Amino acid sequence: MNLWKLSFSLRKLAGFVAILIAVNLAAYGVAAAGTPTVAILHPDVQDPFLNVFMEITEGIEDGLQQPARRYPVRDGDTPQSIAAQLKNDQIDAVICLGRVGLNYAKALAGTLPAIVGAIIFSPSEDTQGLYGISMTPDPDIVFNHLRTLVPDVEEVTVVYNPTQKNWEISQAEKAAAKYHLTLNAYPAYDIRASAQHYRNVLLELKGGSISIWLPRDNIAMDEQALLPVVLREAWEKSFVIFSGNLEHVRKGALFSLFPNNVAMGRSLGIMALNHAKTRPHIEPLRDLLLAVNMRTAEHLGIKFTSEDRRKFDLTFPPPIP
Amino acid sequence: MLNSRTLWHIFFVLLPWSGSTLAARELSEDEQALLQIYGAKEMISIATGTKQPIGKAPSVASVITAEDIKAMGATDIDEALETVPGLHVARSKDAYNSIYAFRGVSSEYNPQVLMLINGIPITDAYGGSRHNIWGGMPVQAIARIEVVRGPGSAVYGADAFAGVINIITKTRQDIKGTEVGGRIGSFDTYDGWALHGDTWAGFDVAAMVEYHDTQGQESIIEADAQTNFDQLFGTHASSAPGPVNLSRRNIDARVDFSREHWRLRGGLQSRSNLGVSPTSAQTLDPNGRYGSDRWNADLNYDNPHFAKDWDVKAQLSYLDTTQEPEVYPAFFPPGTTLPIDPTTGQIGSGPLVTFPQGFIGAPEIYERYARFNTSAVYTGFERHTLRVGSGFNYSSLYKVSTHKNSGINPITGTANPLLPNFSVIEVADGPYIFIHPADRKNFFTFFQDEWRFVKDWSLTAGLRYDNYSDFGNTINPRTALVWETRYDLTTKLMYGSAFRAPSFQELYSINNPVNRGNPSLKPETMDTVELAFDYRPMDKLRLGLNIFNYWWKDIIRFVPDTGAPTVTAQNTGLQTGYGTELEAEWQAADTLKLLGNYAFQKSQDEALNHDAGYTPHHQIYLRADWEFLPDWKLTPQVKWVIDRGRSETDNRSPVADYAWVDLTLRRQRLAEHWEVAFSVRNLFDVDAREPSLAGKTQASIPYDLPLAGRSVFGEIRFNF
Repeated sequence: MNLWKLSFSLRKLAGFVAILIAVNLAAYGVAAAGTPTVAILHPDVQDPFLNVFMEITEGIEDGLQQPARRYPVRDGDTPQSIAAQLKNDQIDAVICLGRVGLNYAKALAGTLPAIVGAIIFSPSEDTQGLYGISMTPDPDIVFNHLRTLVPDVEEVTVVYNPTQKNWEISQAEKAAAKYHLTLNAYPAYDIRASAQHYRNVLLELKGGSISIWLPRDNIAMDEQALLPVVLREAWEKSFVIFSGNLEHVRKGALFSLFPNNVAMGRSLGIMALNHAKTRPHIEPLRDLLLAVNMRTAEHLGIKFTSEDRRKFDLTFPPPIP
Repeated sequence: MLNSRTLWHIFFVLLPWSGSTLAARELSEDEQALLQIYGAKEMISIATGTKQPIGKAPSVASVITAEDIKAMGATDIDEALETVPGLHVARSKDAYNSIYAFRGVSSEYNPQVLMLINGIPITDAYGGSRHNIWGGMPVQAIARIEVVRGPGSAVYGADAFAGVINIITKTRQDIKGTEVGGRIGSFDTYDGWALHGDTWAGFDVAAMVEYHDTQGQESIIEADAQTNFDQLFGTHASSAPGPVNLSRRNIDARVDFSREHWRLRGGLQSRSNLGVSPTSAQTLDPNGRYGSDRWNADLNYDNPHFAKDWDVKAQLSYLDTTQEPEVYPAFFPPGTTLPIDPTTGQIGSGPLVTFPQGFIGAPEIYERYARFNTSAVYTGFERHTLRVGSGFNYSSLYKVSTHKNSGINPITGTANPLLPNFSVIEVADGPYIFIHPADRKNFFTFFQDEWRFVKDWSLTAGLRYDNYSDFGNTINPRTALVWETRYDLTTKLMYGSAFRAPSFQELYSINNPVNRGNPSLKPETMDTVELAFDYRPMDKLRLGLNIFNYWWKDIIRFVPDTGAPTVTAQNTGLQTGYGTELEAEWQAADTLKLLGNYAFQKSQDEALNHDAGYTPHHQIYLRADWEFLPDWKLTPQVKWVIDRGRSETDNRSPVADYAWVDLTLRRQRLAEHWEVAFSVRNLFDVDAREPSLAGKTQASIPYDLPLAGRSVFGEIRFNF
């Protein structure tokens, strides 16, 4: 064995380890320089779900212009134990993420300012006294994209579950009027009723200027059975489907808007700094990314301009040489 | 054809059964909410940048992700590549170097495959393959591997011949935080790694270091080339029966800095203590060791919105490689007795000479490469997407030398071996070296148009022109007709041509006792026609089917010279082949994914009118990724390698088929930050063998090359 060679190899290894440690220490030093006054509570989930909360955290720290301390909420934690910990850590405000975060926000709201985010609110949700951002996309932005990508569309048809989506549909009605779209909204309380609506709509539909909107709704849409039928009909009759569910784009819907987690985090961070200047309120999600199915677009004969393509954050399938 | 009304009737009949799939792991309310937004866990990974969606390519392509690699328990890239349909990883007589045999195209040095790391070829100009002292590649720094079957020279240039393997390394987005891990396994194998991804001074930074030390598997070679000599000359020098020596100590380190449109990477692949037994003379040598350092750096610019309708990319890269002996290897072991030509000192006709330290030969090779390329995609035409580009590659074999105890001593001008001490002498560049330093300049330009000429139909047509300083020009076209047949079906008909540049060894080898280079060689060429279907009959089921036919022409082979014992490289061979590949991926439940593929190929050496031999006619691969309890994953996989014929000059009985089974158990999120795994490779300890090289009259290693028996490893990772 060549000892000189071994020692050279080990020196190289030691050099890289030193670089790693140095990078770590530098990052730690930057973190320690600011004083964290805002805490982030989020559900204790694993990858890939955790990635979402890590991106939001990155955005929050950017919005705050300082590091924030993360508190994954684990089994056994209680609002009292968390409150005590936050007090002990001299936290001034807390950003609560997810459903777990919302429950804690309600409990903590009396003791320190709480901002909520990364949550789909149900219409019956009591959000009084809370600041925050919903995960439900603002219909105004959704219809704006629809108008830009498919200027010929005149009608939007949606089948929805009124117990989940009343608020969103009422917002959509306003947005439709703004963009000169006719909104045909069909309430359905179960999957069978929903399927009947789709059947009637799709059998009569001849393509052209009509589009179907699939909001995030696990009662009005069955992924396994109904969705493939709707997507196949859309392909064969050449009409536009857009969805609140990103995976639908991969399956064949034309486009979807999904959360820009970093930007949403930034908005939450800014809200945490400025909340005292406004009254408590929950905003719809406006920090959104756009995913487009290029295969579907080509099939529908939709021509995108360079400006359009510039706005695409994700395309399916992505081009490779 | 069913009409819409009938389909809706069927739908309402089936509705009550929908959703009755296997019970999924209970997700928290927050996880369920995120799934409502993203649709699937995989989509979260794609949306958060930790995974790339599978692309649309006018070729037959597979993608192996870091997640796949981890699930299957692969610790080296070869184990991951073995799962690609139509690709079989065989073993070379040279220290068991990998032979990536795509669709029946196989050769000893395997230069017919282009391997890229981040789009940069790692082909060594001397031998045409990855590198003689390859030493494998660990997988912790790999984000994904893109494998294109069939020719790709219209896009990638030289050597994108039978297939292209592009390894994409991890970035800050892939790592996010720090991971430290270690592994202990059979054959005294110790692995360690650290990955770190963060932002620093406005840059995305990733740093990765991997360490691998092993004694290597120790399967027994029953007889080797020296066994033959022992029988001929009445000696007992052979180490056979004896174990192969595949020890190695690897350090792989990479850094990746990126900001906006710019990315800078640097890396090192260091190999040392690398056992080279069997040697290239097909003998066992327990002592010889080699080392190699491969340094690389690349600067990339990627701006999808460079100007209105223009997407522009550019890449500047540098690679420096070495091949350095640490302990001089003996082509023939101590005590070997060989006939030595007294005028040349080489094996030939002459008196028998016994070499007490063995017949030593230790070539050293130093190469460097500089490359620049730029490409642009123009989307300003309504029905056309144009891709144009050009570039320049410089390859240099800048230093060679060898240590040996035979041949002509360059100082005295007399023939070695010099009795009585058989001293090892260094032969540097000069009249007695095995190859002179050489370089190669390559300029290229290409053009491709994707023309959507009618609804659901597109025609991709591309052409690449390459000019080489040593063998001239080559033009390679490709076309692909793509039909979006239905909502769930895509059909592709493709034609492509490819070339394989002659290696420096094939062009310029001199003073070799047997092999002579030929500077007038032309490139090998390949033409392939493929028909492929991509079908998604159900939401969670994807099927792929292709059929192909290829013509491999002007194959470079060493042909016996008239009136001399030597062989010289010539463009002489012709091989044709056809086959099919079927692959399926089924997400049977949230917690269970099943994958499988079947590949068939039949390849014929047309000059000899005989099966081309070596590669399996049939391969079957099956894998289940099963999360049987929350955070517990079990991944069994099996690969059947079936029906390998022998080449025309090989009268041995066929190599036995084998079914190789691996089982990997993984526990994630142990005490939040920890992850442990345990894996058994070759679970049933089957005697799996890869074919050894056929000889003129008999194979030097007659009982083929045995693979490792059952082995295990345990692994632990810590994430923070």
